[in-house]
Amino acid sequence: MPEFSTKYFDRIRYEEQSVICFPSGLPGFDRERKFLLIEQPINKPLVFLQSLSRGEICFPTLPVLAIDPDFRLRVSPEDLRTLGLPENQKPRIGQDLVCLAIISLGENRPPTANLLSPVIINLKTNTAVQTIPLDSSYSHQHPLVAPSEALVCS
Amino acid sequence: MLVTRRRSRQSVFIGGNVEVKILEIGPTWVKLGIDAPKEIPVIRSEQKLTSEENLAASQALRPDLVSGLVEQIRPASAVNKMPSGKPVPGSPGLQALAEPRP
Repeated sequence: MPEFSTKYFDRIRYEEQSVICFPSGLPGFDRERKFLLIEQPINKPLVFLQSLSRGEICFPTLPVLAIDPDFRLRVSPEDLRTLGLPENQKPRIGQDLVCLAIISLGENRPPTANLLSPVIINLKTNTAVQTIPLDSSYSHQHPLVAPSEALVCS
Repeated sequence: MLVTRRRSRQSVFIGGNVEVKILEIGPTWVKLGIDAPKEIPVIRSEQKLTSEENLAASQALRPDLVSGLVEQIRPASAVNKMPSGKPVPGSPGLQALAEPRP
């Protein structure tokens, strides 16, 4: 079983079939192709997207539906192709399709989620993209400062 | 900031070798064509924002900030419906990230 040294989780062991591949990396991280999803019971519902090439690169994320239960997912035909999904069908967040928003946790700024460009992972093929729709009404800095209100299910 | 009025099929040059053409004008949008040398990357502003946001997110991961956020959001997340499907092979716990199929 492969092992990898990370900055935040120390040494981790993982199975090859858990590796998530971003065929074109993420914006700003074009060379990072392989990631692991890491959940820790203590930090639920956060999910960490840990790079498998640079141990210091780790994105905290939240499932978009935990931030906005009515989140409307829009994916370009190109990104659908990358994910191995049919282009003529609207993708639905579900058992095989995970949609995560990257969280920015700065010391001098309130925590925000990037709902403008969600990370979409097809668990059937273990491929992922960070999609940036052409027309989006979502913010790249969606505030999480009043999460107790924001997260209440309707 | 230079402000200039352009019509469809007119263009402006930036720095002599970057041409921005107005290709089409719709009710709430314009279609631009940008001719630039290969070494000048042309990206949408959202892509730049996303790059910057990704850089900020990957750099500021501190355990105390993480646990602070978790503390704030956990009480509400507990009422979120978590499906109890079969675990995805090789990805224990991942089923908790997805909504159940109807």
